[in-house]
Amino acid sequence: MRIVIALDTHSYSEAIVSEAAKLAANTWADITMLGVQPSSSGDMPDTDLEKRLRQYRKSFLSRFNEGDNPYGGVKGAGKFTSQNGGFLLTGDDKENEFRKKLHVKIRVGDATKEILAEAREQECDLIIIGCTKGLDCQWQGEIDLPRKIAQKADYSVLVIKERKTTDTISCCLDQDQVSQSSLEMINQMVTLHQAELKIVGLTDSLKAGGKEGVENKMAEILKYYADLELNPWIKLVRLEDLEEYVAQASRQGMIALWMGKKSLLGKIFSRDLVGKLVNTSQSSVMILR
Amino acid sequence: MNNQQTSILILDDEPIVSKRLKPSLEKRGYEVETFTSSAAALKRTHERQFDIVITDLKMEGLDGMDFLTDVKEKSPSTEVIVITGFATMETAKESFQKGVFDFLAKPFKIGEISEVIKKAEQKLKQSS
Repeated sequence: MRIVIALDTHSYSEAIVSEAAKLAANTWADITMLGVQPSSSGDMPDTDLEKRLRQYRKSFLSRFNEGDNPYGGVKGAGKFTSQNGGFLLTGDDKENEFRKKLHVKIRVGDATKEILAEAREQECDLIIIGCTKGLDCQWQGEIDLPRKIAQKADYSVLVIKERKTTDTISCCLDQDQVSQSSLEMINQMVTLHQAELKIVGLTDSLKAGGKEGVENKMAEILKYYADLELNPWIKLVRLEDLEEYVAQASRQGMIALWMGKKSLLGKIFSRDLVGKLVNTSQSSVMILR
Repeated sequence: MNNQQTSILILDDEPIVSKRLKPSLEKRGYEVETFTSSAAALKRTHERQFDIVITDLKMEGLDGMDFLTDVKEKSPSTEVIVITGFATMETAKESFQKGVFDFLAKPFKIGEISEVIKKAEQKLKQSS
């Protein structure tokens, strides 16, 4: 698994470093900690952002015991060196000495574009980003940036708005087009949080042979989990009630929405509605792709 | 290890995993055998040696940890790569204690596992 963590200098970013470290401790994922500065005046990165990223790296690594750390230690301060128009933290340690990659980078330019570009370059499986509480959902002072990332990314995106205990993960799946990677991402989240899994299927009387067709597909999902010795709650929700259900579930725990290109949900939830959900949610929202 | 094709055994009880990996790795020049049953895979590893074994952990019957333990006991030079959909720090630690080459949490892209396989190949070449 490869994860890009988008980080700015605000306190919510500090909180998501902790969340990302927990996920990394379980999955031993390759990690890129990414900061973005709007412009560069030379060979040096923004001082405040550089300082914060160093702190985040240290905080991330502090989650690991010496013997359990696949990313190497906190040897030396390292230095940011220019790379492809941005900056990469390099140290004395040789990357190949460690089992997994922990890159700390600063890109220069428009934040949305640069975060998406980094995710693309890394061929990542997940982007993690925090934001302010409330409706405007700011990142680095830019309103709605996490919404834009969630809307535009080709990869799964986890928006952590407020750290809460995740007892339940409500996962709205399109039974027609469930990607293997989305199921695998959910499984890792369930394992991480030891959370109860709720699979929410749609009953759309106009598609897929009506309720019977939907139930057949839900049976396939149940079999998938039964084979894995998991027993999720299964819930069927009428199409017209789904938005309300999602809004409610997002207040109770993590909500995951499968929003691939072929997803029926992608048609039901317009891109604007995805953003609305991200903005109004009180906890974490994961957009699965 | 000689200049012959690198042999890879893939064990995952979810057929979709092998279905995705096999053609992609064969295209890259590897000799690939796939199994969805750990018992069948174990039998095969007793019949012949593989350069690289890729195994899931959570499976019915003999689980992946027991399988890789047997593989490493029988053939210490075989490099084992663990792939798991339910990763925990404990399983990662235990895997490395048992001498696996790498530990990948699902989901992963073909490019990621290909990189790991290449590194395992390099190690095999260096030690041969």
